[in-house]
Amino acid sequence: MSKLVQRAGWRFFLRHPWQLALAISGVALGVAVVTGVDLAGGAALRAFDLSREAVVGRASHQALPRDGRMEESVYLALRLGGTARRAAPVVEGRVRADADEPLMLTMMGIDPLAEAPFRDYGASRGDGPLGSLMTEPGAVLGTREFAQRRGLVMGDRFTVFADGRDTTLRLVGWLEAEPERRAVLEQFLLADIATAQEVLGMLGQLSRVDLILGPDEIETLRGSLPADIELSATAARSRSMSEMTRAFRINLLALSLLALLVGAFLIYSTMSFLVVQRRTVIGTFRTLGVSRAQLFMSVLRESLLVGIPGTLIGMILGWLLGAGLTRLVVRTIDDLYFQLQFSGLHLDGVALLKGVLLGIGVTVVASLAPAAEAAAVPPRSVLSRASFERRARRRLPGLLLGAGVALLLGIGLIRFGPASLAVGFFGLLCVILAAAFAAPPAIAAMTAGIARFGVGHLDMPSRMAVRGISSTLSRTGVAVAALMVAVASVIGVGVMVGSFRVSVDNWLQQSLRADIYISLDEAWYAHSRDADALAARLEDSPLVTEVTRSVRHRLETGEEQIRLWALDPGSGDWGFELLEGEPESARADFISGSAVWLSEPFARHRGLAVGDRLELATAQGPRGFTVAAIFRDYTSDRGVVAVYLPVFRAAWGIRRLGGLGLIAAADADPEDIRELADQAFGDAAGVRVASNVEIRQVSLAIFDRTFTITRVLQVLVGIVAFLGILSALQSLQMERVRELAVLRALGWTPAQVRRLVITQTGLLGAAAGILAVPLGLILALFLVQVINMRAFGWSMGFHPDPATLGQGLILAIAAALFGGVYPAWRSGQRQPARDLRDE
Amino acid sequence: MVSTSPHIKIQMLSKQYEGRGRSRLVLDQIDTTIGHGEFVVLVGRSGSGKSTLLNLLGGLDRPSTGDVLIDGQSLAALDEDALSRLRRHKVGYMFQFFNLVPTLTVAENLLLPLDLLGVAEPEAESRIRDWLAAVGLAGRATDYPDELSGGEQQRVALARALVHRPGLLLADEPTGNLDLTTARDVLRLLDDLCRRSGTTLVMATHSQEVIGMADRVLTIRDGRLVAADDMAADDMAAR
Amino acid sequence: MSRSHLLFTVLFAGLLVAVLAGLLWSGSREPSALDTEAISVIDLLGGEDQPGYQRARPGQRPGLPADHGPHPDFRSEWWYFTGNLSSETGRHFGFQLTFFRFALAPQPVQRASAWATRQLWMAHLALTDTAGGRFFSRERLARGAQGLAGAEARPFRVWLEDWSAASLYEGFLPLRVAASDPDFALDLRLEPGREPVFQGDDGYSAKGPEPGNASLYYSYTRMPAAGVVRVGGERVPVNGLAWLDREWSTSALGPDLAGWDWFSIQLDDGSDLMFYGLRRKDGGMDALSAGTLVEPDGRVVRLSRDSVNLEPGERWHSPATGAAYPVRWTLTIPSRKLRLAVEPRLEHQEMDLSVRYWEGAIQVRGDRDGRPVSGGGYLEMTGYDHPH
Repeated sequence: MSKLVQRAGWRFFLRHPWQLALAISGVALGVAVVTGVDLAGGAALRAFDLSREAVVGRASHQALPRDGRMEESVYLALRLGGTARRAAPVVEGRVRADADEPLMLTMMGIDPLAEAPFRDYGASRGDGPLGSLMTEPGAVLGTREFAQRRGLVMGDRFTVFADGRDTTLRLVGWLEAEPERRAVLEQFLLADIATAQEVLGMLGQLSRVDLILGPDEIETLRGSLPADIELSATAARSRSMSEMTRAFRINLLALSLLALLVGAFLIYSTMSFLVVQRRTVIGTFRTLGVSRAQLFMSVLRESLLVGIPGTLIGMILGWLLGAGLTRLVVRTIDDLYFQLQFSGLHLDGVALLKGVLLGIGVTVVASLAPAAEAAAVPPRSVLSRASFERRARRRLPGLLLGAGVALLLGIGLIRFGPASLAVGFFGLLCVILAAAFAAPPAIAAMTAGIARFGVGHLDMPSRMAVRGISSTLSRTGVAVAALMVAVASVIGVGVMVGSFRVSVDNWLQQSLRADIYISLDEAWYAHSRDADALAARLEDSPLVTEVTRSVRHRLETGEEQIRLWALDPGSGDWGFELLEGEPESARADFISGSAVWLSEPFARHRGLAVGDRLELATAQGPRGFTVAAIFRDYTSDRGVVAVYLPVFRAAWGIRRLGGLGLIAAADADPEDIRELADQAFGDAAGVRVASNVEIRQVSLAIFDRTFTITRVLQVLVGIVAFLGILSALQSLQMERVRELAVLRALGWTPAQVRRLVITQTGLLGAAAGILAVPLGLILALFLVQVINMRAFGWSMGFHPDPATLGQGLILAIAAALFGGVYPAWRSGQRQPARDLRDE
Repeated sequence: MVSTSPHIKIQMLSKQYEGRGRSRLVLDQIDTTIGHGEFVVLVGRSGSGKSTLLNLLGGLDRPSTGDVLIDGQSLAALDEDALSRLRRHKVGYMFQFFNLVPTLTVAENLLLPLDLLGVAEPEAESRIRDWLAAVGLAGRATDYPDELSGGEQQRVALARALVHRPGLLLADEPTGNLDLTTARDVLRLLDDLCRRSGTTLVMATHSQEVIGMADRVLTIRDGRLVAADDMAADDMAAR
Repeated sequence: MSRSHLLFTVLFAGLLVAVLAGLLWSGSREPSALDTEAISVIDLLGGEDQPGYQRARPGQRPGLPADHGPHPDFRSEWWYFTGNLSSETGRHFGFQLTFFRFALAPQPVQRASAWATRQLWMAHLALTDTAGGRFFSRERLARGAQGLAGAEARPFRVWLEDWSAASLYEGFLPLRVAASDPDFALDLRLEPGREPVFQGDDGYSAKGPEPGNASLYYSYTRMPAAGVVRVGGERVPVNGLAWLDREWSTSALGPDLAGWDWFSIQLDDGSDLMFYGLRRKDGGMDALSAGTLVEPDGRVVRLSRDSVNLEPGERWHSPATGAAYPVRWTLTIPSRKLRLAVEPRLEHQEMDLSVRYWEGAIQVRGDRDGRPVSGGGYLEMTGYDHPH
């Protein structure tokens, strides 16, 4: 029935292909960003899942010794006593297989006969390796990729270093796996448990026992295990690892949704323009008797002409973007959280479906208001054009009211609502929308101000430009609001990142007190060396005042994981910034062993404060500590518990050291200290020596790398906004074609007309930019004090950088000017006569 | 050709516009009837309210007080959707600025009212052909409005106004945008076609020539209906 | 415009929140499908000949009780217990408990780790609950180290984790057979019955034409058994007759052989029959098929391929593996005037484990020299899951 109405609409669109193209691009980009981020996040999670699964397999639980080794009799008792039917012993350790560069691998020793329920190594039927694997000392399975890297073929021997000596291994079979898991398995060598015990020097011992337990078996088993062995559920541990990256992923998601929000504005403004431009035609339809419902549906269906191609293009772009982003995301998680291998982008049907629904849904929703507007056009408007604009101006107070409501809602949610991240984002959204509502009235006020006070100094075109803004506010208001939001977000995120960086830098400068830092990993300890002896020797040197010691240890307690940081910071200034706690007494309690210090994120996540008690599971059973202080720390967003090193050694029985810090004597040359350290440790593997300057540089480099993703997304948001303003300005100029023709007829030169257009667009851009600055600062404040706090748990200083603000302003004006160049040029080119004719 | 029962009954019609703090009485208690097939002309100066009256007759606007009855049906009693349906069935329009849909062809423009009524395709096609021929634009069916001259566009508008056989054609300054010769041609065509189809024609105009062609002249001055004789007397006085 | 503007915003905010919630809480990861195939061990059996293992020599005879224990230098070996039992109310049960040993290397390993071994053990446990129509089968694997599995000659014991067969006193018999599973279990005491029978040529049982391609093989054909069977939560006291087959070798089936059909039958007239028919790929029974008949008075009669007729009867098609096993047979030994009809207690006694074969309790009825005889036993059929 309304086919003709529809046809009329589509042909209008097709006659203005640039508008169509711009609107589609906006949607496409918005959808692409959201889909890309979603796919990247999904791929990262999948990579993590697969890496966990490759190692843990289908085990529901693991019996873990607290200090890494357990007696094999524990497993044998389980097996022979029939307590656990599905149990598999595992002996695991790191070996070094040198090629051109040291290559650390994990040797995993298993009992193939017990493995069936747990893991599938793809050893296909008919493969011979089982016999060799079990009877030949040094027989291992490896992946083809590993063999390729080392230049080995089946049956070749190669040397590894472990347990303080060289051992010869022989490759007797391939470790096969699906493509996604291959990347992880590449760092594994699979061996029989006997071989692993021999190579790793773990005779009589196991690393853990993997178990598949029914719900009724869990408690019985837990009871029958010795005290120093923990029964932990693998699902819980993997859950916590996925939790770790959740905040990071949510932030990415929010940024991507911002892009979509701006894209939605774009659609709204495009459809809105279209309705306005066709008011007369719509009036005609109404006089002919076309019903309001028909007009409403017609506009909605037209919007699909934008939405469907835009979404489809967005899906494809999103796929490409996702592939690129995944590398960044995985690298960031790798840098910050735990080791992860890039396993390729997986065609995730759910993510694509989400993208489709989002793209089309947003298009339709954004078109609802213009469609309603079209339906509301009264038939007699076909005769009168001026009343519309008057009505628009009368609505401005309504917008202010809406702005106020949104602002109150946003602030209210933050102050009185639950302290969750999602609520935080929603509050942020309310604030953004409040600003968007308030933009048109604000611009009207600004231009009225200029018109009143500045007008005398301006020439004709400029004066007209100023007045012209308020007369076209109904159409340009939304576009400017979108540009403002986008620029504000660029500013806001920029200021937040800048503040963060400054905070991190300050914190690094304060806490890196030693001049040289030495880190030791298990490869160094494989030689059974004694770090304490070395530390003592270093301290004896006249170049060194003091040697600080530390080690990090992960405490698995049933369902969760706590990171312990055991340290002995020496006798001087410890370099901590205490956010809570009295320094003197806190230090005394720390040293005495009655108290621990918590990093800020840890305290925040668990709601602990100074004076509370924290129970930790030590090798001798649970022990309570008082919380004496809370300190600033950016090393982990899960948080750490700091404990005094001698106390740690006594309670957990772990003597290893993870790091040493050399504090130079006053007159010592840093180069000499460096040399001292190098000499002390020789050429040993597993040692890294760095000056505090280098550490600072590397940390900041990682920081910058982490925020690469953010910057990429910012650029994308900026592009979407630019498209928006471009489209809006195009439409605006089309609207004013007749008016400009009249000016030309009166005698204005093309140059003057162009000046008018450029000035107007420049003013709009400037208005958006000026408004974006305070909004951007508010956004940044929000991000720093609400979002970052809730997502990660750390506080940071607020350091707005004038350069960032300036950049935002310039961005807004540049976007507007750039967007206005083409319309300006076109309007200068047009023949007045043609435009004076009525359509 | 004029049937006994009135086609349009205008009862004490008044229209007041709210402006910025002021209100303006555009029409003041207009009361008259128009019979079937009559050619009625509304004259008056600009701003006298003729367009407003025309709007009210077609249900494009609502009166402040009073009512319009078309074939006994009260317009005030109808809601927006019912008014839309009424316009589909019973009213045709012509405007000064033609108001053709620029993105539809000539034939499609004519198809619009028929499509809204649900007329079957073969019947619609045949009617469109007939009416295009009647206005002398037989070969232009697939052209777009911007390819036609002003006169041609108005002729298409005329065909569109009559193709669905409404009983009533409301024309608001249909020749206001045309040169003298073209205007005359269009007017003649308009008069001719309306008489032949028995369509009531109410036209708001400035043109003296039209006044001569009409059956009746309604003069509106300051929103009120002035008796025809008074008008004639005024005219004499003016000359 | 303001009204629609607000409408737009509220709707859009709502959509955004809904989408945000959906995206946050959606789990878009599918569980990965993993294989549950056990690592194959069967290709170690019947594969090519591996040099270095000990082989049976013609003229070699098992010496008891030393040879009750394991022979680690031979490639494969088993202790194979079967039996037919009935409860006081006449409910019939059949059981099978087999301990297999495979050597993975011809020479013993000397290594530092206590886990190192060249012996791989596999145990199969099966229970047939005839009245209940149920058949259970289980498999376990373990290495011969750390006491997880193994065998000893004196006192005799063979075990894999908590499944075992062990002498109760100094002599071989009586011995206790005990094995349990969450779903079923058995605990039996086997008493001395008939003297052990040395199969083949006084214990040297040729499996192929080459010398050394043979096994050493003896059987305890008749041991009274009594004990308890647990099934479905019920503990049922039972008694009946058990059979032990002991065999060890380093041999391979000839390339033209598809599998075998092995019968152990205990008749009510006091005679025991063992016969295996080696099936050729081209159909027909191989010349090396053989068996023994123990007369009631204890005389051992060797049976050759020509002295026994085996007629397969109706086949049963396994829904799990698709194999078609002839579960009914007619066995005649004309020279002994013996004719027997073999019926399975249950048709679906298929062992679908690392190895696939049919092993189940049977009932036999027939006549001997005109007099009716009946009895029970076990039937084992292999090689039916690879039709050619």
